[in-house]
Amino acid sequence: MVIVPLLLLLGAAFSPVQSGRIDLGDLNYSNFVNVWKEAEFGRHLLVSLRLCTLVVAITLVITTLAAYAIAILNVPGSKWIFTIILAGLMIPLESILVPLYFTLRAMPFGGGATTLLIAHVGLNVSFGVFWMRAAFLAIPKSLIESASIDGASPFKTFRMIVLPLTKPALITLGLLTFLWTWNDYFLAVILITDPDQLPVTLAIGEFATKYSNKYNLMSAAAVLVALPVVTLYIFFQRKFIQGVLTGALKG
Amino acid sequence: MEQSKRKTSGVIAIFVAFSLALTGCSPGSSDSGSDTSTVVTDPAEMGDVTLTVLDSFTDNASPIGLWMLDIVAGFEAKYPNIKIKRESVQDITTNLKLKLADEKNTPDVVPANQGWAGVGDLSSNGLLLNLDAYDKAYGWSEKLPTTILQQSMASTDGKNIGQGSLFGVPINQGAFVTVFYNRAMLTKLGLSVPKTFAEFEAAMAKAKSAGQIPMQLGTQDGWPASATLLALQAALDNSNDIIDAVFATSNVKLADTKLEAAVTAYKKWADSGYFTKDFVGVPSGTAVQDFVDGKGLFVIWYSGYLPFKDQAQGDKFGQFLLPRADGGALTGVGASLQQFSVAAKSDAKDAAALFLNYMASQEAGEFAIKYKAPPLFGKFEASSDSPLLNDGVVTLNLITSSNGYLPYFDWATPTMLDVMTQQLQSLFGGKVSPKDVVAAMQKDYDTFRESKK
Amino acid sequence: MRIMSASPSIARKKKKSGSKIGFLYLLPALIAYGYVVIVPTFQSLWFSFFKWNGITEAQWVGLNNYIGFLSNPLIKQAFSHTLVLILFYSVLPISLGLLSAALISKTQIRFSGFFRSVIFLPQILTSVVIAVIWRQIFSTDGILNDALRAVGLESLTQPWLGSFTFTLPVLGLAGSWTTMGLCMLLFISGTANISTELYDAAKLDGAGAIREFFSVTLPGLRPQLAVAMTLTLIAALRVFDLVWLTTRGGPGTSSITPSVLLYSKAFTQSDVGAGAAIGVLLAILALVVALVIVRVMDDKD
Repeated sequence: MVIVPLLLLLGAAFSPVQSGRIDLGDLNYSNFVNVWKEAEFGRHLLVSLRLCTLVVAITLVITTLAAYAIAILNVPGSKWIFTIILAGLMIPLESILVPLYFTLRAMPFGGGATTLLIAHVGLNVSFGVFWMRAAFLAIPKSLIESASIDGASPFKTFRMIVLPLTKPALITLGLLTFLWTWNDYFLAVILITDPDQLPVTLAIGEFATKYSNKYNLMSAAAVLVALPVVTLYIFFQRKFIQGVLTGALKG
Repeated sequence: MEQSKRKTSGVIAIFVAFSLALTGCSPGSSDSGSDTSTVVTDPAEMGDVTLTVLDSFTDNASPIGLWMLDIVAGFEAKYPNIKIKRESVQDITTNLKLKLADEKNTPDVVPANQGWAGVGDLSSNGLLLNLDAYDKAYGWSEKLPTTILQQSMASTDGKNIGQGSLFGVPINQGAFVTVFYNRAMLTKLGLSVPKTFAEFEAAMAKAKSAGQIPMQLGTQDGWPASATLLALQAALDNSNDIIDAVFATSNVKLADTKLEAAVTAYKKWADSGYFTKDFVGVPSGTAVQDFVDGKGLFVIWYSGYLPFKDQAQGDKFGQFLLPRADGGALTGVGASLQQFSVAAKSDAKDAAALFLNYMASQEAGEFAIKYKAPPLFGKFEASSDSPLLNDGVVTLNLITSSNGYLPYFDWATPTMLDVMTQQLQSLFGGKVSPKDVVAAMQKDYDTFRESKK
Repeated sequence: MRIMSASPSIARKKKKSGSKIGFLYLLPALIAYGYVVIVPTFQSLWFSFFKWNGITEAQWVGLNNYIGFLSNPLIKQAFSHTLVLILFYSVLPISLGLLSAALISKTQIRFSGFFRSVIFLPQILTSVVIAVIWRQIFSTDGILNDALRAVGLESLTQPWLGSFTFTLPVLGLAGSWTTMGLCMLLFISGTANISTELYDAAKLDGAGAIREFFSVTLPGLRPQLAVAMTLTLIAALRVFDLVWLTTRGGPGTSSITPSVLLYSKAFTQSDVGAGAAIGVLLAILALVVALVIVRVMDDKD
């Protein structure tokens, strides 16, 4: 049930015929090459990669620090701050999109990938803090206390004890953040105005409207877009699935 | 705990106030475009400039794409101190307004469409540069036909289009809603190019009985459905009424024009099975591509936009204007393929105006011929080696001599194209009648005119 | 003794300076979050009280945008479409998920990792890819029509994505495909946590399969149910990408959703206030959905 549409896509991607008819005896790689060239896939792929890596890096840093402050350091007021951050999980993107567009547009780097970067980082704070806080709370308090009695600074405790213990959670967070940033279409379509800086999802979107009847090309394009994430998924399946399931449950 | 509660509610209050302050108490600004008191036409005086040109010619292999490449190369060769930076975006209209309002990043040259949805709306919001001063310097009003230039004009009080000041310049490439036909199929059916409306309908009937698709059509993606309606309007309706309606120069009521007859004819063709099977689910791109691949006798589309791979394939087709039902002189909906304007917030106005001038020059027309597209201004002969192009030039010459250029009806209001699209889709879904379609268009028209009083 | 009294004060001192640094640690995230989420949320509310075209000065209209919605047929249509989509995004996948969970608990089939990976795959794909897949399937010469023709049901072929009747349900089916895997996985992994003792007890009571389902499986899956409902309901509320990339809301307005309307109002029709108002409505609805589900689920306890 689930597999069939996916197989159809793959089949059409390899089909030499425009209508995407599948003919197992005649597999054709040229579609991928054509798409790569025409949609300047390489360039947009780089844009997406750069964006996603930066988003993941920045998000991981700031959310783990923030979660540490809330969960371990018990900064005053952290309970309320956490509630506010949690509320963000409930706010749908559509509600903040319009003003966000106007605010970001006024910035000097408007219309480019940097606006998208900032937007994604901000949007990922809620889940990131929530996720890492849960991971940190699971660390036995005794470990942390003994570290501070030993005279370790908060940062040292963070680096030497907390981080290594929560590496799996970090990896999962990184993967999920990468996934959501890579797959985004809505945010990019509104914020990016410079056609050179379109992420790959948008480039394919434009491509799809132009070649609406060349199913084989479009399928090849779709496969290319999905490939990086699917590859990650294949290697890290368990983490992905666990991440989404447990994250949803804990929320 | 009490203290932190107060602290955080304090923080929230600050956030709220801060965010309100960010937008200013009411969002938006009230400054309008700047003035053009000094006009420079000598490129040497402009210094080193980078001109950002926005366009929708994303297909570098299409005639217009190739034309644009030549234009940019030719311009940069002629004026080495001015560099062109192109931004090609497919779906331009969605964001054009916001792009123009963006002070930091506004493009200099923009493709504003003729009509209310484009030039009218943008100029009335102060987003386009008033080009009257440049017009005086470059003499466009003298060199170019007024019926064409009229389509780039709007009144400075924002109430009317087709009159007032000049806000854009059309490029030297013509485009009109035309009927493409498959030469081989026409001959095989024992037909010749229809000279009258009745002949045209007969041709479609013959094709159908011979098992061919009389006319390719795809309306799933919306707005292209209007092309056929516009062609029918041009063939059935009184030209003066159409022009008056679009430019609001008289109080003509749509119900008094032959608009309903056009809509009815459109529906009749659908019901007679003259269109592609299940055309409501077919995107227009697919329909046109299928036509180019040899399926279908006719397709009504925009000249210069037939997506054939190479000249050999292009030569398989010809084009002609839908003949008038009343047998009168040919009229066609169309004009320049695109008109370009200068952003009011541009910081390279002089260079931009120079570029507009270049795009309307004889040289630009020659580039058009080179890529088998019909030019618009100047004198050209239908003597190329491409029969399709020759047809186009012949058609253009015909309309020019009969002064039969009709504006696109969707120019009449900023939302008219959406209304037409939705109404036509509803018409073919059997939800509304032709009368309803006309009534809806009238309502949109009246609402808009009211808002301009 | 001295040592013991010394360490609490040292510990307290460490905590105090820890909290100062802690605040610094918190700051970047708070700034990003505030700027991207909190401030725009309030701004949305603020914008919704104006009539603004995005460029020139805005006009205060108070609650007019919202009042206008009450009489606007498009808004009503968009939200009624959401109800239909809820059927496909929520009800259908959850039912299927529960069904598969019930079957699993009964027959104790072990699910291979491969199966899990595959049914979860649609959640990994971006909306553009999903749109391409389903556009192809439902196109006039696509797989669905071809299959119908092959079994002699030519008369049933339709222009699926161009028909006033079928476009919305068809898009809904595509939506089901995306959420189905998630629901199934949620429930299947959830049943693993239901203790077998409860099932044994039910069997002893002489409960048949159906009774067993309602008295053991379903209550045991309550947390998963809450999550599935929240996720899928909100997904149905937010549908934009799929519609935008296939029909743009057409034909006519037969497949518009609130998000599509938001986009068109704010960015194409230059009615930013109305767009913001729709955004506010969506936020309120999302909040209500979440609260109601939490309340109902807690009540059952």
